[in-house]
Amino acid sequence: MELDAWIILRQLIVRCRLGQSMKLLDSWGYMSRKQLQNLKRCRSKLALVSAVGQIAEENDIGLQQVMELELLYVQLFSKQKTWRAFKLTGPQNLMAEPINQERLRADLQNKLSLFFKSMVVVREIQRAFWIQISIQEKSSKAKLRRYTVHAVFYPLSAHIFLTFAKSSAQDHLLQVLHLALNYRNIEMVVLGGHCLESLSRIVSNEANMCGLQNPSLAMMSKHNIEAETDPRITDENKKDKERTMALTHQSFGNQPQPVLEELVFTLDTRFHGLITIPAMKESTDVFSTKVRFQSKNVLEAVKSLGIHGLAKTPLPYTLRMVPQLGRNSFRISERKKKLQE
Amino acid sequence: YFCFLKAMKSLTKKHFHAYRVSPLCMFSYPRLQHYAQMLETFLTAEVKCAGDPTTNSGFHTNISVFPGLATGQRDPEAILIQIFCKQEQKRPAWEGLLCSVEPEPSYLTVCMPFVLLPLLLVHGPKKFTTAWKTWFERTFDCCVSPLVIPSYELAWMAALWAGAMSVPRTLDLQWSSPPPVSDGLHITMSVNRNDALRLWDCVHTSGEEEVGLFKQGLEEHIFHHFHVILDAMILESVSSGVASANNSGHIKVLFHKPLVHILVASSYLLDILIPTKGS
Repeated sequence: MELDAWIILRQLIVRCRLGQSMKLLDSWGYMSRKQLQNLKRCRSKLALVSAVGQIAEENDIGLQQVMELELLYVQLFSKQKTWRAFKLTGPQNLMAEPINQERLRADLQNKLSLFFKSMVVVREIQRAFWIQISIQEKSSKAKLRRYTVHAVFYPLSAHIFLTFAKSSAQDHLLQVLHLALNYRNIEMVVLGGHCLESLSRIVSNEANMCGLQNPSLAMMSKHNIEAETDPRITDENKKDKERTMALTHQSFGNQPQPVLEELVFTLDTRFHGLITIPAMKESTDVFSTKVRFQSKNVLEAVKSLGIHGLAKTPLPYTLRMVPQLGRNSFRISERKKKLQE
Repeated sequence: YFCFLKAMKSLTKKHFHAYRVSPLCMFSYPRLQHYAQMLETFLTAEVKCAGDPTTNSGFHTNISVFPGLATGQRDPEAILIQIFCKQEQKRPAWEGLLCSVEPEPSYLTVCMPFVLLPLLLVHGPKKFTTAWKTWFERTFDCCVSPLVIPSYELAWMAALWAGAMSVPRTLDLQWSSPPPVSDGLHITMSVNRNDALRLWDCVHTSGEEEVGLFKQGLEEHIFHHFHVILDAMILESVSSGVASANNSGHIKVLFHKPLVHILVASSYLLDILIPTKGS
């Protein structure tokens, strides 16, 4: 077994818990049932590492196979990575055969060899193609360094999600990816986050269900308030609260929101705090600010702002229509006419 | 002067955690060497009791007067406490600065056996802070408790720093939602340096309470765009090209010039705040 392969294999097992390692090795498919049964007897990570190393030696497992295990690890812990969305446009050769895992790998490997020394692994998991590209580059001290880029392609939505790639390599990577996937062009979508499932829901328009489609939701929310209210509490703002709940449900729907960690707004507008600081009225210059909303689930958090009295409902379009707009970074500027005035 | 400058620069670009300290009983400046020896013995004994194999190499401690911080007429000299691990003698593993920079007059009424050094800035691992605190509280019959900086005071710092920013960096203010909001929401506003300065200049001309207006103006601007009521949230941290601070008492100063002003502001907080639990 090569030293590189052994190092990656050891790192992967050390990073996981024992149960997770077994799950990973099971889905890998390069070990027999009997070998997996033997591994289950290992009580510590150290024992598991040496046992797996021995089996890998017996089964003649190489770097390519170990990288497949690394890809499975990334799939299992995809939330540890930050994914950015790219849209593929202009499908070519519609009559061609559907994409095949092995052919896609060979195609990518071929095309990438024009730019880098690299190694590609592809696996089809749950109707998505998971791609791992390991690029070898020479560092300043003439040492070889390896960095990995992961990509997930959803054929039905014509979108691909990529982890961070060095800017020097990104253009080549994008070019190779859209050519190998039979598309004419690839564009960056201003959408990114950790939860791949939510991002794919947003790009495929599955998360765009809102209360407007189901008029009974407003009524449901009314019943929910009544059920949750403590009878000993006299609610003076009941009508206001009901209105806020109805508006919130109308804007966000009753379904759980897709998971995004951040919304970024770049504001290039005039200063709008003029009631407090009227002296700023004379200034016609742009008041540049950047506003970030951050949370484990930012859309759910924004949804609950109105209900808890921290925002006036209905919320502005850019906050309540994020799944429909399919992006989480926005630039807001004043209309040109207004600025010229 | 160079000594003073070097000492001041040693306090910049470091994350400090601020604490409030009650008056010290029987504290004597000529006995600083003796206190250093006492602390060294205490730490060695603590490590032996805990049986921590990672820190069995022993300590060296240094307690000395820190020059240049006693700016007020009745300010006692600041004290610098340093703990060195014997493996690495050059860099202190833990630093603490006890000072009193122009405190409020109500604090000055302390009887003779007591010395007033109400502000403590700590930089280093928590285990050293805990050990030092135990020794210090026992030795000088005092109480050390964390300093919490409320939203209004943070806004005050942000407004002051907006007017004093010489480095092209944004002025960042971060609000956090109160607990009922699911998953907790943080809203960060980064204002361009020149725009922050322009706003600060406009606030100056109004003649009303400037600091409050600065914060309210920014909140109104956000409300216009997002309908979010930031006033109902907690201002958690502020940072600028001059310094940064958050409400749990973390302070970082980037330049030595505003250091004294920041310490004066922190000393002012000691007087206006209600003592936290344990103080």
